Amino acid sequence: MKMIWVALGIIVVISLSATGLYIYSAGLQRDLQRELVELEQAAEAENWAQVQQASARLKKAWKQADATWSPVMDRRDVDRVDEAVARVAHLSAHRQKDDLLLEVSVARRVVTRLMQKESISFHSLF
Amino acid sequence: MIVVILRTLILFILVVAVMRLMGKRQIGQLQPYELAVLIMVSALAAIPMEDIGIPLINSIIPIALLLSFQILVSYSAQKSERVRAALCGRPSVVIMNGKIQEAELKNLRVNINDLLELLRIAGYPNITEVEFAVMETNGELSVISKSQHRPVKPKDMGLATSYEGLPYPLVIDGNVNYENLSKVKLDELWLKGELAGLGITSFQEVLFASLDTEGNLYYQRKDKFA
Repeated sequence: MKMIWVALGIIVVISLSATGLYIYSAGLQRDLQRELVELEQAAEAENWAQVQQASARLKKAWKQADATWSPVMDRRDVDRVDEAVARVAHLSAHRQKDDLLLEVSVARRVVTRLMQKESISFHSLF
Repeated sequence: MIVVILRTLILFILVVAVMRLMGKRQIGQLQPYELAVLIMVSALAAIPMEDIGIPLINSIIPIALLLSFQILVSYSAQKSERVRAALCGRPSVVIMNGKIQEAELKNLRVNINDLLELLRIAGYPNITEVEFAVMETNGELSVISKSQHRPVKPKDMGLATSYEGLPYPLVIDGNVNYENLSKVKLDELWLKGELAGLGITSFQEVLFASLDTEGNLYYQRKDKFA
């Protein structure tokens, strides 16, 4: 009987941890998306000072997300986001508007796809 | 992570269902759901070994979940006849009153040659000696022979027998088993003395020594000391 409770305990703990992690990861994704949108808007307005600030905030948000996602998500997907953020930061520093806007849209897409894989849907399950 | 849990659950149900549909011939010693756990656990453990891109937690969690499911399923099977029948199947009588049950064999997808082979393995080369044969849920065949073909037992002869018990291994490959020595209320000194009487000066010379319940010491020396 003890083993039954242990088994049920494992299932409950894993399910709750997974739900908690999903909610936390969704928050991290929203933070990343918000920073990318702000950076995109600043780049479109060619407000480079604001672009620099948004880029710094993006790097900070990514550092936090990376620490959470790397141990639990497919590392190839996490690496893709890492590369996209690195390119965005580099292009922000060099004030290359067109390339920056392209990279921001790619980064937004990669972040969205990463979380789509973790969400409960027919697509992600099968 | 939730996707991993749901995928694990889906795959577990799927593999159990597939194993049940495969029938008893492929199962061997394990119950179907146990085999499903075994296959999935080994695959879950093997894949991240060669692909470091997959976080290990994605394997550890499904394995822990499979273990939990297996415990719960075993418990349910133990408590409920219906669950047991659904997961493990039911024993099938393939020979009843000395007659082969053709329909049952067809259901099990076992042919006559397979049945004869299983009977030979069970020690019955002649099918006429068999009264009942039951294909158990783990795929093994239990055979009950006709009464006139059963070996004679002391009880049949009205003979009195004494308690035999189990012999205790005392030395295995030169190593003394002190636990067994204390179980038979003896010590190393006694064993040394007994072996010395047989011309053995060191335990290292002994390959195997055991003591039966009648106090007889069996021993065999290692080849290099023989």
